[in-house]
Amino acid sequence: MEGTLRNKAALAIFLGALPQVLQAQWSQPIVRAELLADTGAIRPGRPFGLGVLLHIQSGWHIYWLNPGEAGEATSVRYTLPDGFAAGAVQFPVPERFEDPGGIVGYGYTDSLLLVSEITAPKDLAPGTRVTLRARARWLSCKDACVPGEAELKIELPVATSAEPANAPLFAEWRDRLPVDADSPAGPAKVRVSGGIAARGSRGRFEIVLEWRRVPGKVEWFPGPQPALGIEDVAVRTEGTHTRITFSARVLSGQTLNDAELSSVVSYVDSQGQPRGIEVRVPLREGRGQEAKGEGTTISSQHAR
Amino acid sequence: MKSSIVAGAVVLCGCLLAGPYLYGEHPVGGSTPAAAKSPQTHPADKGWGKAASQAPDFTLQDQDGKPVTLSDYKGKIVVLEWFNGECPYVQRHYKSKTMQSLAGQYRDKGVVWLAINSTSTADRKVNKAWVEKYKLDYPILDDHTGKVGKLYGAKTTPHMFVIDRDGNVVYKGAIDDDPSGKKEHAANYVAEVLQNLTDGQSVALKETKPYGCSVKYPKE
Repeated sequence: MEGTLRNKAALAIFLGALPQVLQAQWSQPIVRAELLADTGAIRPGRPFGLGVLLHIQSGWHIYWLNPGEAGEATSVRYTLPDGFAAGAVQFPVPERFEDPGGIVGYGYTDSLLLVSEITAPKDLAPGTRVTLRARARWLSCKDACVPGEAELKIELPVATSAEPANAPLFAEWRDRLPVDADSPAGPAKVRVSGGIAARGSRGRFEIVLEWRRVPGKVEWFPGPQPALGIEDVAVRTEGTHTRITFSARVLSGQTLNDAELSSVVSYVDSQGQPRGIEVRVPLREGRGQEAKGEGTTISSQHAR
Repeated sequence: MKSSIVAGAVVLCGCLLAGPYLYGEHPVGGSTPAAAKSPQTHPADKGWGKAASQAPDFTLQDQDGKPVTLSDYKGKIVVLEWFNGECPYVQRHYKSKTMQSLAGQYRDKGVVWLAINSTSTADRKVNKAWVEKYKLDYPILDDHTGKVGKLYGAKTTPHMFVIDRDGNVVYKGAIDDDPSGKKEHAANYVAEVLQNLTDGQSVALKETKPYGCSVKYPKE
């Protein structure tokens, strides 16, 4: 009797600690990270790309810049030698998921490459080697949530010429970065309207897209904006016409400091690949117009 | 504890006789104490309740199976803390005693702290184990059906609601401004509201975006 009870208790403790056990005991991390470069060598004074590649176990997801109603954004911070600088982390188009109870999340499954452009100082000596470090942090969730982080490094030679490295991988993920809404060769013509009245605290908004080709699976993702509650989001696509409507409400006691809400419209292209358009939504009434480029882009997160 | 609940019930009966029942949308003058304390949640609830200014009433069982009814605390400041012991954000806060110290600090000023566990796989035993492990002075209420979570629109653990003495929700959102727990000095939003309320200031509704794991509601 006592033995069975003890076994049951042990089983209960084991099951309770299962996420941690999965991480530790079987060396099967939920998220595995590696640091890659798009070049075989660093050329003095020339930019190159560093990317954190995250492999996410099936069934789990990690989060976008705006994680949605729960979760936490994935982040990358670089530690670089003197004279090097890291540009903003570029976030590919996210996916939308919904937990039981209708809790909406934005993020990634399967894999994710987060690229930053690195500038190298001019006074590097060819023939030397440089070590670049990155710390990636994420929250992975399935039924339970497990935070994770990885300290990564890569060593690269300095040379006067360099061959590309990991080209297909970097190209595949570059295609998943949202393009600016008014790119002339862009996939759609975008029109934004609506707004919050000057002294008001809530407003309705509309984004209309006229696509060059019939898109697959159109979704809309508002960017991070702590002062606003985004509600009643509807995305309707018919043929080459998409209409997105939503309400935005200034949270009680909060001040809206930003003139625009950054957002991403995702779609699936004719090759079945996920793609996106960055759409900036002016927040105050009377400013709705053809989407114009101004301010920080949603696909970027500034290096900290 | 028991005597204050009896006193509360007496006051409650008095209020029912005297005028409109402030918590929830129970019919005016027509409810008896028994009906008011039924385990039924808000009659207008169709899933996600939009907590206007009045905090919706509820009755849930604590870790010892004792029913706890929000409206019993009318006249007191109440903090609702959405809880899930499996969530790393909740674990971090309990390890650094964020909730416990704040609850303890304001208990002497009459603030009631109620933790609510809406995790679909949790139950009274899970809640009791946590109360015992952390020696909590406040209860963890069993909401594994998710009814009260949805009534309040609880999205994350933790997700905090502060209710003033008149039964109005005056704060909803994050516990503090530090989701990743990396700040030297995090600004604790709940402490700020409790300080203002206990100083006797009237407090306008403040909302922040909550952070944490999603509340684990039952699969539909």
